[in-house]
Amino acid sequence: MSDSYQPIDPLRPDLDEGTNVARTHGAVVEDNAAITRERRVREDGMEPVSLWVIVSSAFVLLVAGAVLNAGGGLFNYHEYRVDGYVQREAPGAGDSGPATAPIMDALVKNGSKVYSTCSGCHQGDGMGDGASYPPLGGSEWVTGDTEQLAMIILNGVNGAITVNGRTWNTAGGMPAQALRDPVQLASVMTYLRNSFGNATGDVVTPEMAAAALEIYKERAGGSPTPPQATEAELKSDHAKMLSGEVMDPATVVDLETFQPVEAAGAVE
Amino acid sequence: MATDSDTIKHADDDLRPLIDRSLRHPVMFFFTSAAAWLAVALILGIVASAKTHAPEFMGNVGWLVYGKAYAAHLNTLVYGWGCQAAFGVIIWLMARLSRKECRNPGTILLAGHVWNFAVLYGVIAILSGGGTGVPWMEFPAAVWPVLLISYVFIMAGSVVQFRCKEGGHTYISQWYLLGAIIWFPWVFTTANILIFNFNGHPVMDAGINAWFKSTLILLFFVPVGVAAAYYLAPKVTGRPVHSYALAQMGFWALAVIGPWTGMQKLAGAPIPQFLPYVGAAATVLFFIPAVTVAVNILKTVAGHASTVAASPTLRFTIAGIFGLLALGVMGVCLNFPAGLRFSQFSIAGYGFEILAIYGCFSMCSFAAMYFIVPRITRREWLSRRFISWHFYLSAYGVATIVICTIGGGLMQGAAQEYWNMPWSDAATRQYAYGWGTTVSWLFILFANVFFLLHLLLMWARLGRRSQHPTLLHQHHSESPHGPEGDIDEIQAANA
Amino acid sequence: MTFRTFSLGLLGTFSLPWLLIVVVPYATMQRIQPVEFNEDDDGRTGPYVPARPGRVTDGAAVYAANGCYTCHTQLIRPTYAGSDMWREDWAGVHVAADNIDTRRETSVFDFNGEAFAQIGLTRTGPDLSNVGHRAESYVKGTETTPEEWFLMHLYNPRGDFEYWSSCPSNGHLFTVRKKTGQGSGDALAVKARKGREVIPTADARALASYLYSLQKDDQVPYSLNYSPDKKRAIEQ
Repeated sequence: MSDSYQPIDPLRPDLDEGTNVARTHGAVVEDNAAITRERRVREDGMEPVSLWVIVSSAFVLLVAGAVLNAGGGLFNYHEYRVDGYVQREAPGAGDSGPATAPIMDALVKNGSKVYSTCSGCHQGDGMGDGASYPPLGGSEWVTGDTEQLAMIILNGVNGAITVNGRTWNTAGGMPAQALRDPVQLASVMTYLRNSFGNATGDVVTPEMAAAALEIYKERAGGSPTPPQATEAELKSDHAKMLSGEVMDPATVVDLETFQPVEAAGAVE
Repeated sequence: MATDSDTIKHADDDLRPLIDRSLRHPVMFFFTSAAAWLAVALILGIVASAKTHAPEFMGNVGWLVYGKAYAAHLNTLVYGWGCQAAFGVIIWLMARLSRKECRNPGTILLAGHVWNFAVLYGVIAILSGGGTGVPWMEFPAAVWPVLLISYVFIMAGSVVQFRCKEGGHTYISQWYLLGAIIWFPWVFTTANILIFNFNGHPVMDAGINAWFKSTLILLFFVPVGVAAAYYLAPKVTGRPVHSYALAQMGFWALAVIGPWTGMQKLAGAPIPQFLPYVGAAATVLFFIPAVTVAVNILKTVAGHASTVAASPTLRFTIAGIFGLLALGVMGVCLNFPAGLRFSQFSIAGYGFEILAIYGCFSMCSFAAMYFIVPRITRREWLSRRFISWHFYLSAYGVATIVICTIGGGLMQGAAQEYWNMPWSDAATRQYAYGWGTTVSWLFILFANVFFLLHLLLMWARLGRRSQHPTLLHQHHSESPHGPEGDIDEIQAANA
Repeated sequence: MTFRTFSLGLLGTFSLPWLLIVVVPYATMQRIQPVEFNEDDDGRTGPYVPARPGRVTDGAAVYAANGCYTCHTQLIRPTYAGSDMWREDWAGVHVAADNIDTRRETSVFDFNGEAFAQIGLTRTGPDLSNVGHRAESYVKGTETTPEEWFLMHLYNPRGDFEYWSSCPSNGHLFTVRKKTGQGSGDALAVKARKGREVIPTADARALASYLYSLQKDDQVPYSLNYSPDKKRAIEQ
């Protein structure tokens, strides 16, 4: 045993003579067996970048480019939709065809809109005002022959006219209505004949309305302002139904062309 | 005569146990607590998944309705299991790689307990009807500052260790660890402050939330998993990392691409319309860092198939790396223009998240745990069979979940896009996949119950006292480490 | 790589996207001004403010706490991003026969009054942007109100409805209590145990009111209208 100062070797444990080095070392090894097994992490691999990585990265860059292209307008903070966006029609919507409905419903619905012009005089309930404008509900001119009704609408009426037992003779009579579209005319006629208490249950088809317009043109003889009709004329010349194929009110028609559709129940 | 490498080895052999001893309490706490939260998360996940195809399952339990169970499942998975496992791995790995002992284990341990209590409080709040309704941020708004402060105390030491390390090489893992340490608070604070504390536009809040979910995965969980892989693969095989250049490329690719991801979840929403497409493009581009890392790690272990098969650490690492590769591929499949509309509102998004959290991050974390725990407890794992079951059930389980949710999700999305078919068509299409998901989660729960048990036994110092690592294959009849058997008996026999 | 390079690189690669996709859009959207109607295009003046009658804020909180967003979305995407516009009853009311088409995409003002837009995670259940209209059509011709329909659906989605639903039974939003006398007027029209009735709690009512308020198909100003058939008011 020496009293002299010995330099400390950091690699050797601080020991006195009584320590069994082998046992101490064994304890270190055994207690920390897992640690002494460890190898060092080496990061000195210098392999070149694999071609697979480059090729797949290039492909992915293309895909990402396509994604960005789909968006467009990079870093525009005020555009919330793709530039020029307009809603697309549902694909295949054309295949199922336009909307359809039974012809009676379609015409009555449209006719109610056309009637708004008439309601100024004949009132919304079709009962007239009791003084100047005759009622339409229960009127034989409405529920009778369709040609008479068409002529009244297209030419107007002048002079005395008896409606439901009461004579009406308003100054100036009823003005002519400028309805030249067969669908509009057919709509309002069907509406009148099936509303306000009237229930003829039949439809005036656009075909019949077109025939009425022909009659109107013939009567007018080229004049843009033909004379109003009179009761006598209506009774003598026009007391018949308009020509045209009679259509079952339940026939399903295309709402744009008002032609019957082939397949029943071809609704969207 | 001792060579330089021997000198270094002895120095390392002396330093490593010191580092491990200094960290044993916080690291074991994080691992054990994380594993326990994982079990809770899995149980909640099973309940939630069962309710997708059997809505009356536990239908009378008001605090487990699907919305609450699902929210609680994800929050415990992320904050209970994911974050705590990550913390354990980060502090141990950074200490080892910086060759510095931990100076503040007590603080870290205390902060860890605070984190635990905050998560517990948050989960109870969700289940009792106090959730905020912001995905992955359903904890009441008062909880996030507590989590942030605990985080700072947990991680501060690691940053200091890194800055104080003696000169020389910075390991690849350290880049990823440092990245994760910095990215997490930045992302977490931004999202929470902007959503809860400022008055923003509700739709933009949803966008920031989607960004948060994605960046939490890609800039915290994935880097920690990758850091573990870059440490464990060269460590256990003894081979150098395949290519340093590739490693640099992979890291910077992730750093550049990661922060742009996330908002693809809001495609078509009324936000500046380039945001979702930038998010989708960036998620597609995530394939690049994923494939880079995967090639690097797989080539590092190439040719050592027997080592990979025998070592639990390496098996889980390689499984995690395959998970990362799958994640990169899924990122492309779910986000290219046509795929995005199918995946956006289907369970494919959940599948992507689970693939990231369980298939990549968790597998790498398990690998790290199987490596670290014997070193800090100085005991070896008890049962080869537990490890084997844990591995196979986890791997097959997560693969099935990913196939069911992503495959099923894309089918569900396609059915959703058939707008002229009744809704029940799309709604019922995912039942079979939901069933597959529930069964897979059951298997994974089974695996992790065994893992938790195993870990608790190790924590209780009941592991094997042996010089032999617990390997999954026993090839040598005569081990290079000496005779197998109880250490005391061997010493007695030799004495 | 030095630490300096590393930190600058990390800072740069993160702060650029952080600014560009998080901070700037957040600040920009905070400052959104309401869009104005104008006389020529829309035939009316004034700011466009979607009317959301109902317990929007309270109900949204209940919706959030119960995790409804995990299965339901509230987003009608433009046609380039999805087919939501075309699915019946999702984007609005579309009756071709009557020339009614109120369908539109979700607009940036649709979530006013809510703290967090519940865009939603998945579509396990249908999108809810216009579920108020759907409820109205379900109760048409009966004496049930739409809110009552919602309450019945929340209590037992697999009750007497025409379709199978995997929505959870939110029984915790209701109290089952002993019936006194003829029973309360608030009781749900569902079968309860003998002598008991089911009363919705305040949370249930708020949620039902919120769900009924989800009718996001009102008329938007001309500049926010993306329909191919849109016409300016002065051209009509």
